Amino acid sequence: MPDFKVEIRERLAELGLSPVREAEIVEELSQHLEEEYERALNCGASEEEARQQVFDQLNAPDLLGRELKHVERRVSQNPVTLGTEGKTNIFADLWQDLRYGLRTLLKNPAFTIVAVIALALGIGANSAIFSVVNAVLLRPLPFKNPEQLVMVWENATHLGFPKNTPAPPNFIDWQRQNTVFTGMAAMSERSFNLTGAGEPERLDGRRVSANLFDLLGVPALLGRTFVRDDDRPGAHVVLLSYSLWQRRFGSDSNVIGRVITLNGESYNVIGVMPRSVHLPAYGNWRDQVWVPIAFTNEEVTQRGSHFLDVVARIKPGITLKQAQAEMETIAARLAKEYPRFNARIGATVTPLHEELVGDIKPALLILLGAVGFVLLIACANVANLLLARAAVREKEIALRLALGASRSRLTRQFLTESVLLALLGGGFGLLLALAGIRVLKTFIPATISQTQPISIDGKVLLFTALIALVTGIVFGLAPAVHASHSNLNDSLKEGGRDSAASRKGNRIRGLLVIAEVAVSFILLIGAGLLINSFLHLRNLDPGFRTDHLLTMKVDLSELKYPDGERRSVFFDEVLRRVRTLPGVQSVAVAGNLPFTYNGDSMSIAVEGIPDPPPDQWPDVIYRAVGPGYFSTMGIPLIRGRDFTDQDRADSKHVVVIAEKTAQHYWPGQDPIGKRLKPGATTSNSPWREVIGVVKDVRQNDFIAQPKMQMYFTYRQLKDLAANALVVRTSVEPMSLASSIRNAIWAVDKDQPVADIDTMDHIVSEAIARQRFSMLLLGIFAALALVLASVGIYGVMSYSVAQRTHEIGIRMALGARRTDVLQMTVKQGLKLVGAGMLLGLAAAFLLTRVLASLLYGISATDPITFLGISLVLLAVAILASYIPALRATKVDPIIALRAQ
Amino acid sequence: MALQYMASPVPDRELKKGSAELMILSLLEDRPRHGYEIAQLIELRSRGAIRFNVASLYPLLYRLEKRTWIRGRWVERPGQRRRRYYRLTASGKNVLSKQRAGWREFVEAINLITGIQHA
Repeated sequence: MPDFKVEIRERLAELGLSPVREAEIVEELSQHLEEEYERALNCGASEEEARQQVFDQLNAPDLLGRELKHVERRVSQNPVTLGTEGKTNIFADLWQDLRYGLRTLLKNPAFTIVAVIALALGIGANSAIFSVVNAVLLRPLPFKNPEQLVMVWENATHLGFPKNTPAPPNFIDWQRQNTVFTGMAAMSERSFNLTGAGEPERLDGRRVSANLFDLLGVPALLGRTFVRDDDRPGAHVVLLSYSLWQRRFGSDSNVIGRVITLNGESYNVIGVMPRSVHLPAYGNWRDQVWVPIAFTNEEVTQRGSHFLDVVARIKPGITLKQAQAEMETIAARLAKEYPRFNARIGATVTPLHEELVGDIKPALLILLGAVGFVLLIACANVANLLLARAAVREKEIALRLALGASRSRLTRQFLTESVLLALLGGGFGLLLALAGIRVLKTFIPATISQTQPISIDGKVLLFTALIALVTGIVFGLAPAVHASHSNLNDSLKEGGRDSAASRKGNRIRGLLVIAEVAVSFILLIGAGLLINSFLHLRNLDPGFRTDHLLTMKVDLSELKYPDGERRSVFFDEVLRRVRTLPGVQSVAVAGNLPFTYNGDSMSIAVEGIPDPPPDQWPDVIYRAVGPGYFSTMGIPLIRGRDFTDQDRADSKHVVVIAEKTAQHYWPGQDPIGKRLKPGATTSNSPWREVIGVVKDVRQNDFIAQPKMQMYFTYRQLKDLAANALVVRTSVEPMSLASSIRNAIWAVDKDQPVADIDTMDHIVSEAIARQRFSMLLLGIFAALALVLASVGIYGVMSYSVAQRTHEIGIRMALGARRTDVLQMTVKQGLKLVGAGMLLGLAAAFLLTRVLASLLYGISATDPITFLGISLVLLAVAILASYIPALRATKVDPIIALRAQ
Repeated sequence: MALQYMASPVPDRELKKGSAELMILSLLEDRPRHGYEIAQLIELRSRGAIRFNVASLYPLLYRLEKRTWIRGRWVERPGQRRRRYYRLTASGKNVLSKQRAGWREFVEAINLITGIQHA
């Protein structure tokens, strides 16, 4: 018989039908033609005649092709793989896989919910932390070409100040001599008392070079910024911050040109700055007003008076290194010119971004790493779940393979399912992240969160989508590969439970648990170290009693209180009134409270000791306080006496020193009665007699060792250094806030009272960053522990379920319950033990990155390592004990029948 | 003398198509049939006057199938190779009764005009 198929196929060729459809048509038509052929033969036609008759039907000029063209649909020309459903169109497959995947997920709601929760936790934690990283580290500063902005410091490392605030004459020389910056601007913090309209208020503010805002590239929101002509003494113009303008001036656009009273002097408002302006600041300083820096004649000559912050913009094409090199050259030149002040003083150039972000960077990166680990554990858990399910689905898989599905097609199907799961997890994770960010904001250190708003933006969304996708592929890979390698014959056989494939599945599951335990062990060790370190910090002795201590800023106006006499009158009256308030135990005048200010130190000359060479002159921190300060603060007086009301401007000048100062200058001697004075021996300030020695106090930095310190009574100082009150209370300190403020206003109704705070809170703010890292890493480690224990539990339960038959046999043969219990727990502990060993080795290496965040303990602190090991071991035992207990309840008869 | 259907003197292409559809639907009314059977029956019942060409029959079947008036299904019988059987669907039945009525009216109208009487 002639082959009609070839002929038919030829006529169909140009229609571009799908191969399956084409095959159908060929089959149907050829059958027809073959029967026609046979009929023709039966009617007596010769083979040749019959063939001709049949072909004539086909050959009606291109009739078949033309007719079919109207009916049949052209499909895209892809090669057909046998065993697939005829289409290898990726999108069609994907759509099919998605629908199939969704159906499978819906069919197992318990599995889906558990997996989605685990993933949502992992992905949510990642998105939340990434949103902080994004805001703090990745988002550029709201200035023009922010990468060109730097800060320039004096480098006085030999005195313990690698980044010292420059002195005005040095700044002016730098400005004149450098060729690497397009501009340099100086600024200096200053507080202002705003009076006249409404309640008197103390404002944080700054004196700034007229070119500062031009340099930053920030135009005024309203009005103008400073011009060169503003930068002279006597030009009383002021720029308002956005928040002050909103709060005190009701966002009034007519504020420009208004006159406000700052520190008793009139200032003309020339502009309002946008909300985004945040300059590097120490502690909680928040600029609300800016005035021109307008150096006084005195300031431009004092090379020993260091109080500026200097911002500069590097010229395009100049690198940070080149800028650094030139500044060092200039500093060396100045050191030669002015050896008395500048010997060994170098210069340091640092990116502005680094200054604003500060030391939070390592902590954030470590946290990001930690949440990455949490996600890995979540992945391992879900992979385990999927593996367990793949074992259940082994028959389905084998069947599909037998029906001709390719292994790669199956792998794709599994991956689609896992990515679908991950995307669901990612969606819920994003919701969790939204809530998480709200929580994060409440305990993220203010210095970080206020620089840049933390929010979910496009970058965070992209990040979330990406990790969800990667997560899906990572945890889907193992089950997918495993499933597609399962052995057909084994799986299809009845009771094919102990097939090689499921043994392999068990091995993967075991490895996943080991990995989970290892990773959570690392996290737990990290968290343990941070918690331990934080406890060390909390237990640090600040040198005074922080409880029941209320503090507040009372910055006097220099115009109103120009001399010590008038200040004493004011403070004496305030103290008299406050002392009588119920709940007040004692009260004293203070200057710059601990941890709120990073300055006020001087070099001193000591009678009987020759002045050291300029570059070896140690700095001594000084504070101006009033009588009763030490007893109110709870600073122990070791020798001598406290200041009294008799230590006045016209009496003998006295000083109280701290232990460290005493040991440095008079080792082994009694310092009482010795004399010292600010500056060099030759300076014309009077000698001051040491009348007392007190315990060292941590002044500037809670964590660093206390530096040398001394105290003056504010009555014997010309400068307005006393600016605060400390009140020791017998009741909750904050409850006295308003009555004390009223007592002050009763003395001077225009006197601002600011920053009312308890000392406990100030201390806790001083270690806010450490607490932030500790809390977060703690939370993540706890999450890891929970996930890991769920993982161990899941694997052990599965293994017990699988071994029911074996356990049944053992028990039928006389094994006791305790034997079964032991056997099962031992199996779990083997995995946990391996994980812990692995984790231990990794932790030894990885926790080193934590070293910079640790205080008082080493990164390999044995107690932490031991303690955490015990915790993990206990949890692991519990997690495998519960399934083991279930194993002992196996009824041998039922178990044996079950097979 | 057998008349090739496609070469038949009926002039209107639509008319031809319409009548062909009607024939196929009618043949499938009582039971499912395969393509060759349909062609045979048409030839037989028209006493050889009408014959379907493979190249026109099958496109027509596929068209009817696409309109869901008929439905084809591969059927395997023991000892035979599989064949594609077409059966009339519910909507096909509907169409058939309408086409029948229409055809009857048409034929009657032609008869009235041409004066041809039924025997």
